[in-house]
Amino acid sequence: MDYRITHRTRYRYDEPVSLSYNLLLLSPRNTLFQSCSNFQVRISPQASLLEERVDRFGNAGHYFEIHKPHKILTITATSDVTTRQSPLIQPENSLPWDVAIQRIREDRDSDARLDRLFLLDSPMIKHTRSIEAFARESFPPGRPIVAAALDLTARINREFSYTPGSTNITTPLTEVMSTRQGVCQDFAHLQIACLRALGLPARYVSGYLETQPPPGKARLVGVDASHAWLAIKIPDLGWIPLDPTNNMIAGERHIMVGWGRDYSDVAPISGVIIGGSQHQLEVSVDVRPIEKNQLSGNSQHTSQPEFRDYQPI
Amino acid sequence: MILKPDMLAGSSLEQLLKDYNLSGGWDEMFSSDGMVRPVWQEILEQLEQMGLEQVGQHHVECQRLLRESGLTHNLYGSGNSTKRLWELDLLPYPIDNQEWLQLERGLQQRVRLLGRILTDLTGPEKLLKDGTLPAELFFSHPAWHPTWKGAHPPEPKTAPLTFCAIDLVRGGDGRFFVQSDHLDTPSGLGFVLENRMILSRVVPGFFKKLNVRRLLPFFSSLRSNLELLSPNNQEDPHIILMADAKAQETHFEQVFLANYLGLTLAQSDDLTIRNGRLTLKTLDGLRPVDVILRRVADMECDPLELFGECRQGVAGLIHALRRGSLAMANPLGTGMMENLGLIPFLPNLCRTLLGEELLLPSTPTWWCGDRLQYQYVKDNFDQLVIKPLRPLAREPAVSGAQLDKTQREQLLERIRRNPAQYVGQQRFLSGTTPILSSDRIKPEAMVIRTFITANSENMEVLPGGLVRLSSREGALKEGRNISKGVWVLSDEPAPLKPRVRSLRPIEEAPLVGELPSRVAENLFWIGRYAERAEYSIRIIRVILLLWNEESGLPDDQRLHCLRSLLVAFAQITGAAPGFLGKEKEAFLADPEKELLAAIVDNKRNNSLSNTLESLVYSAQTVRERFSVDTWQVIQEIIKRLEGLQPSPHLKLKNMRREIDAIITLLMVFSGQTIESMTQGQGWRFINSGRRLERAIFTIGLVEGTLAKEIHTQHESAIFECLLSITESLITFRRRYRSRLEARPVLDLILLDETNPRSLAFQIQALDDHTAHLPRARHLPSHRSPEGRLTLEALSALRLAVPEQLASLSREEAYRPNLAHLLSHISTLLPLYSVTLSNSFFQHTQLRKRLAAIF
Repeated sequence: MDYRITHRTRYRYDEPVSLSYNLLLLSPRNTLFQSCSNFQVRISPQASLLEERVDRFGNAGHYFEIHKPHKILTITATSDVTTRQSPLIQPENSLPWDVAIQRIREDRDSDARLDRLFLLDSPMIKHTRSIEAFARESFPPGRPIVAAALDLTARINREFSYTPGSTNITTPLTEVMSTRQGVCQDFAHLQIACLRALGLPARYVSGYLETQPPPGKARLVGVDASHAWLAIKIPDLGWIPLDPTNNMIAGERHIMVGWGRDYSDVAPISGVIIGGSQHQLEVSVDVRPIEKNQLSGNSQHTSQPEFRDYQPI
Repeated sequence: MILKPDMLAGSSLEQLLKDYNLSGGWDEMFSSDGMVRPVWQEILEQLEQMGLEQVGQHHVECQRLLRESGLTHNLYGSGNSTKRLWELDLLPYPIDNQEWLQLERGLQQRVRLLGRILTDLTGPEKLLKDGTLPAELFFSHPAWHPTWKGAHPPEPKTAPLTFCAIDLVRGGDGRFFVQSDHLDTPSGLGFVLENRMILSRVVPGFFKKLNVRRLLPFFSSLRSNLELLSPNNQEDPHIILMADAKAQETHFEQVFLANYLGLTLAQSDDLTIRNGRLTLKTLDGLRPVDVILRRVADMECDPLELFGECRQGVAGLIHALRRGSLAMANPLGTGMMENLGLIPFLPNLCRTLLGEELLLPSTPTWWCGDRLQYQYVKDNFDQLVIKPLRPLAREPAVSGAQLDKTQREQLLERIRRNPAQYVGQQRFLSGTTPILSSDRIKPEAMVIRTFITANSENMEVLPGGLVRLSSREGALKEGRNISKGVWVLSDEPAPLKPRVRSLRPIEEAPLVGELPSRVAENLFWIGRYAERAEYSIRIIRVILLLWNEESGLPDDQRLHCLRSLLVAFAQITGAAPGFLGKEKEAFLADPEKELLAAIVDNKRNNSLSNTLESLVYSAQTVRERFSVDTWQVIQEIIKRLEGLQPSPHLKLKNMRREIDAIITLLMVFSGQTIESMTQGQGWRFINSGRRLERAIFTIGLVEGTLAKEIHTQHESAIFECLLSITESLITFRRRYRSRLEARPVLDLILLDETNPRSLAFQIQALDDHTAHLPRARHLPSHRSPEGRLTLEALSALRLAVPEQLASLSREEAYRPNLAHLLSHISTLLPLYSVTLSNSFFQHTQLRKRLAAIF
């Protein structure tokens, strides 16, 4: 599928902000099943410094500074992305999960050694007994690992209610466990915590989801916002993306921006400002399927002098 | 067992060593057969010659000098009065040069090895990829962060670890063991230097006789190693010591070290990033920084990238490092090298990476991230001390045997969940060293901190160190904080050189532009608080005189004056609202309680104790700007503040002595700041604060007593009170030799520019300071916004006619011209303060806040 994604974030401050420092993680990754042909980010007011950087996980981020006093900050990222369906997986034919764990433990491959990072607690994902117990229900001895993981995805989808506004980025998993509600990032965190508690490597994925409902199908959750899911590492198969919010293996309509241990590694926008007292935040995300020939690499907006366009490599 | 070697019989040494009981382990002074070790013989002879009394005196002198230097844990306002003061032991920790050189080799090797590991971990991670080191050992460490990777561009010309501290203990056979590495923010070097300076003052003879190796060359090397790091500006790099605003207990040590190394001391708030470059906010603008000597933990360096962990730091700092625009010692990521789990891997790593055998052993340690070692820890739980990878206050080391059943299970469960985060360590009986305490010398267990500085070619160990008491199992002891200096005794006399106060030559003393805005603001407020405290006392003193009926005035006049001063005092300070409120009559009739509260209640804004606390607090934040003598005065004020605590037994009439003592100190403080501060910008700010505050006070006082609610029959008494409060009585008598009348009184207190207590004098001085502030210089033909305000105020005063000011309204109840003039000026002064803030302190007033993330 081909998409043009427009992700606009606007902060309105009550008092002028004199200095603003920000990190962005908005540029979709290139992977086996996805390629980004064009990415632009515009910042208003104009940034004094805007630089690209690649983080530990290979995600392409941007750093920018604004020195001019301003009451409105607008960040608009536009990307043209082509996604492909990944090969079909037969869940019941995968390795028994206990065998898989043994394989993971004994894997001496250098990537596997570094991927042990995704087995450990991370800033927003902490191992607890109740999470471990919840996870074990989907993992009886001998069950094929993909089937077990999908069962866990389905149980989270079923037993937890998707309630926008019920949590924010600081809500701990223990609270999500007890209230049984949350949003996509909570569900991703929860399933990651479950898998890690069992000794299976799992990472957090941030990105977008196409929300135009196909004819006759129900509209998917995650409209007009960035989306989050997770990926589990399985011997022989590699990283399999799971979306507990929508109870599915993430596919062609999931556009991946970046991955990390948890949300804290891949926050789309984070910033420190000097000045400003209160602010309002508006975010709009538009994931628009487009015809191939429309993808020209040109932005639909002409560049204006107060904006600075950024052209990635 | 009481030791009585023959050489001591009957001497004062015998007296001193009466309680020296050996516990069987290694002792620094005595060998196991009770013989004095050679390094101690000369020292003991010197002690013997001194005699008991003198030893005691020297010991006391050491403590006095230590207090004077301010290098103590003595922070006022920390909430409770249990201050943990450092003591300095008169006895050194002597060690023979040959033995020390061997130790040096071990320390150098260790820093080399740790540096190699760090470079790999923040770069290619080969050691993790090939399995030489398990990844969990670092990924589980609380100071690991994904952003470390690539945060420092590799720089072949420098060593990864520029400055380190390593703590050692001595085992039963006298072998040195590494107890812990302090690599991220190594502290204590300032203490070492200060200890040495104090001892060389108290017992200069020791040093001459003993050929103690000198410390200075190490400091020169450290300074030049920092210079070598600089990516730009090779000639004269700008190096700062980035101070930890939270670590108040080591603040003075940081100040001391910065001054000695010639580094600018800067807190996170003094720094800002512009276009990917770190700069220091000074009064003259932003000055680029080339190198940071870091005392802020790496996890707290940058609130932008270390979201959630970071309570200080500079937003954008890590990006600036990535761009290579500045260098940092030690690099980000160093924190994870303070890692007890690394210990079992070191011997092997040393062979692989350096091709050498590890020279310095560590306490035997088992890392729970490894299955076999984990099993060992579980099987030998009661024999081990369990520690997190990096012991911290919130999760300290615990001895397995001391846990009850529940605690033990809880700990085992925590380990089961995150085994890689824990180690088990063998319990370790560390050696003892003699400590002098009052009139006895006793053996105490100790930890020795050593310091190392490196560049790509040289690795230098400080021939000295800091010895502190510990429990015998190696943790630092709670309670008494005793330190002593390591003396490396050489066979050859140390070359004689003059004692150097600063490595930076005098002609390179900091430029005027180096005054950080935060410091300027604090100095301004120090001036204001000092003056506020002083005039509060001056007015309270006169009030007490009237209240105690010591004034000799007839009762009706006395009561009128008392009332009018109480009201004026309340209006000026706001510290006694009772005298202004609904029930003011009751309060004014019996003012004792309200007045006492205005003196001692530190919760009340602008009460005397509150003002003094603010003064002390502001002074502490800019400690480095004051001379030792000036700092002494602040210390005395802190002591006096203890006498100003609220208590039901306080009596107003007894306050006189307390506040007299304080005003004397304040006068000394103001004299010191005038006499011993260089007349640079800092001096201008402190004096501007003082002048502004005194002007505000004088206006308030005259407005409250002479401008309104006049009772002409009592005025002469009021005049006398005012002249007394403003210290102008003697001048008045000498100059006017007349009866007390409004015109000459107003002339002297308000208009006379030769009277240092007059309003006009304050405004004139303020105008002069304003003209010399840095930005005013850029446009000599224009007045700065602050300058316009002072000119307006000064002109109003100069144009005022004394007779008109004195003239009364028709009903003789108020003085309209006086009231008009004072109200005009009193609107200008707060504006002055705001304008000054906007021009100079603007950076400091804004708050940092994390924007929401979405």
